[in-house]
Amino acid sequence: MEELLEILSEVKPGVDFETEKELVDSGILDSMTIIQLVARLTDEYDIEITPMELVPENFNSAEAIYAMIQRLED
Amino acid sequence: MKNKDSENINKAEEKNISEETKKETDEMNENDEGLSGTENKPEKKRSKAFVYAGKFFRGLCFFLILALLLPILTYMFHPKNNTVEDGMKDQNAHGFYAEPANTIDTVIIGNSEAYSSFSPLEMWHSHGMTSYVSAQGAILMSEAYYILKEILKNQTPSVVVFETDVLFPLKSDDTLRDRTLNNVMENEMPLFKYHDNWKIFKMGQFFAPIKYTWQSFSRGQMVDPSTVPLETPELRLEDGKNEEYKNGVISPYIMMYLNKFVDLCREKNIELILVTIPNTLTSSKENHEAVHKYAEEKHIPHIDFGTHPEYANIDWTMDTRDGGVHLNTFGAKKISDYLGNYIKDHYDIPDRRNNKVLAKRWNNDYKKYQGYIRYKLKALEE
Amino acid sequence: MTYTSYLYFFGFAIIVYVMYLLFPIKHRWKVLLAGSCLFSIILDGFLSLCLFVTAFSSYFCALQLTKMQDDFNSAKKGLSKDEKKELKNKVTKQKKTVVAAAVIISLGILIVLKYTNFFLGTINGISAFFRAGFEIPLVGFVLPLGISYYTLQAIGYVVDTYRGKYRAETNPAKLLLFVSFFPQMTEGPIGRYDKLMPQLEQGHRYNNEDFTAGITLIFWGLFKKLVISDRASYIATDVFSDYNKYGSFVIILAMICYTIQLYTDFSGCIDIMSGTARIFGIRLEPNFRQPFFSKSVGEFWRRWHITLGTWFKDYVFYPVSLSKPFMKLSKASQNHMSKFMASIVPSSCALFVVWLGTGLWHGADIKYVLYGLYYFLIMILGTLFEPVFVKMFSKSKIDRRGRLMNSWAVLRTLLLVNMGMTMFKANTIGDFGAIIWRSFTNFSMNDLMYGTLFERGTDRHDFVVIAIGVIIMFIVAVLKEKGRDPLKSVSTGRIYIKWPVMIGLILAVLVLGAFGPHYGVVDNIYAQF
Repeated sequence: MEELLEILSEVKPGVDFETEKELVDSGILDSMTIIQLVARLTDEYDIEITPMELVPENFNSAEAIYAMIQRLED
Repeated sequence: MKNKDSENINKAEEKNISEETKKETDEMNENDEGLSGTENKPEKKRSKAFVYAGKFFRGLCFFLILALLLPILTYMFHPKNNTVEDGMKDQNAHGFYAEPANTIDTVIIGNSEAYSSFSPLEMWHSHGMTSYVSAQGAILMSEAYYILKEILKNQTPSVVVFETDVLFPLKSDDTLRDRTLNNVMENEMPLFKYHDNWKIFKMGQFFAPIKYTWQSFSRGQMVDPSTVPLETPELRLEDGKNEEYKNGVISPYIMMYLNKFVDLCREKNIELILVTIPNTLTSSKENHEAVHKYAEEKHIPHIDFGTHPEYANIDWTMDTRDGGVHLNTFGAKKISDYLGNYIKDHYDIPDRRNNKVLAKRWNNDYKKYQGYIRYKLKALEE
Repeated sequence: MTYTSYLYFFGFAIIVYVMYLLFPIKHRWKVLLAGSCLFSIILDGFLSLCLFVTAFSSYFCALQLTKMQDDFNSAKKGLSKDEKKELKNKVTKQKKTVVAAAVIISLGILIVLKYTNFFLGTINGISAFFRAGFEIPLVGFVLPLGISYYTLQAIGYVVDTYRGKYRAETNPAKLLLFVSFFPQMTEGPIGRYDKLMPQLEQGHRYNNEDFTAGITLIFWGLFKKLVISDRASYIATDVFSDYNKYGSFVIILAMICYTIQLYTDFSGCIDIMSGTARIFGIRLEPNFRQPFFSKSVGEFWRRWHITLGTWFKDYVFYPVSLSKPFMKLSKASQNHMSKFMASIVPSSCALFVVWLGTGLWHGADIKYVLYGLYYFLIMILGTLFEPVFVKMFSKSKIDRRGRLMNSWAVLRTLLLVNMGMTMFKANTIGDFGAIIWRSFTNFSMNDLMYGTLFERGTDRHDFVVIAIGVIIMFIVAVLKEKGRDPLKSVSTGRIYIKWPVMIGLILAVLVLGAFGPHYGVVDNIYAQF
């Protein structure tokens, strides 16, 4: 989780990722940023993220992203 | 599940409505809006039918208010006189409104061919017969039908002359379908036709009384003595320029209102005459033949100046104002002479010259007409 | 049959609705299907054929995809991990073939009908340039209305079943209804199967609130289209077709009018269609969210034609950026470039594909390609200079989120978008350049001073009506932006608010609408794509 928060603040500085629950719906993460994030995540966690996973529910909060990573790691 | 439940409730209630009407009137008053959320609570169940009835009643009220407002608006935007300034769209075609009741014995209806090719004043001069050309450029057949209906409100003509160029409007069936529907809506709901008059009306005009006073001195004819000759010395029917519309097919949307037009004449015991003026836009052997066939089927006389050029001997180097599309005043005189004779020979039309008051106005206008032609010709020479 | 014609309202919509209510709940979707088929046949017989082919190819392919996935799921039980992986790769390959087939058929029809002449023209142009001495005659295909919308909708459906988002529809008739549902056939919004289909197949009973909301929305749409858009259309068409006659003032006015026209035409039509669907108890996807309050061009495109934007995001941008070549590019750039550039380059490349696609989607013309690239360029420049802006603001101590900067951002976006719209309307890209040039150089107020401005088909009355209409729209938009949708409060509010507003709206459309014997029908701009 710590690692993820670090990546997040690297990709999009200046956002409080620990509390924000509407990253996508409120427009903090736009599609460009999501793609940058996904590129980092695939690298760091060695997972394959398909377009199928790119829905707001999976990216709205740090916890949601973390849950998605864990699901994909299995 | 939820749907089914409420459906059952509905049925149960429908039975109860009549029995419990009285008891629940009081409850009704207490319950205003927002009852829909309490659908499934049994204690409120009984009043639900009333909520529905109330909603239905309210909807009805809404449409009643609209239905009351519409005639008011229709009146507000309706032309207050038959002139353009007063909101009438095509002034020349609507001059008949100001003619004294039951004084027009022949009505001529058509498009630009009609207002170019017929001269009521010439027919008056040679035969003493009164007529009016109510024609609009590129008129739709449905509009022709509605205008005849409008004329018949105030006039009792014995003869209606219909110029058949209206049957070939050079448009696709889809366009004709849409336009005919628009036209019918506009005639049935005049607000749709005249709502735009807010642009030209002054304050007082919205509720002013409707009074038609504008009289057309030429009785709807467009008087134009200028000449632009046809390039070829002769107008041959097969020279029509619009290949796509030469095949003699009358669109169903035209046919529908042509039949209504014919039926209207029959119903009012009016003699109908179809007249075809040849022109370089819509004439073709097939188109003329199609009209002829229709006339034979319906037993309507058909005067075809295209197939029978000898009727009027139109000189296409002299008698057209735009190279063969429309006739000028000289062409119109030839056509009107033939038509006047034809009507006089075949139908019982009164000679209105005996009516002093009427004759005075018609004679004056004939003079005006001749003066106007002379003035125009002079202006053209200069 | 346009959505604003009498034929649509009196000859079609009302009849379909009455039939809908007369049928048993279970069978009501069949009325919608019959209505949609009839609608497409009235529009164009050829359209129905294209629609049919797309719907059924999508149906079979999607069914096949679900079946393959089921087979895989049952076969993988009891296999070892490696065997599983091998089988999965094999199945994925097969599934890819199927999804490709569906996309090729649907997209193929669209491309052949829409772009053949563009390709041939380009080849001819090249041939003429090199004096190759050959010229391919152009073909006379007629582009059926709505093909650009339902094709995307069908493709989205097949791709989603490929991704396993939902199972394929088993009833071909229902899928045909999904692809052809008449309110969204010719201009969208581009719907999603998982949101639309449940609403379509479920019969809806009459509901007072839906009915009122639907009617209000329809008249609000008619107000936008007939009162504002069609009046604004005359000056825009007139000035753009003969811009050499006009000075800068009239040209700028025409540019603004065109932006107003395009927005009210498109969003008005969407409102009419959403209102129609709402009466049937069906809610279509929103396609606009006050786009002119956007603070950046990127935001504008998330608020304007929303369903097209999300479609390109889900089915072009994401798959392209996640595809293998792009992942490789992304890795390579991380190794060879600064951190900042490495984060921008790959997504920019994907974005380029999206904007090229968006441009081409609007039409087969070099003008539309440039239109797409115009927005691409603005967005890339914005991202590139972002660090510079950040520095500037922190140095100058201007509050970037302050009121003044926000207004400036909105105004700037408005100007950029207006420019884009001008490019959209101009006949050729050369015309666009000339128009912009003239609007800056040919300064003249003559038209305003001598009143000749009002002789261009749009008289002073029209301008007054347009201005009032725009003010009303602005107020509504501000309220919506603050989360209080006035249209919604009309349909749920008290009678003394609801009735006057509804009656006012209906009468405004009847009296002020640009329809009747002296108006031609103005075709919907977005239906032509």
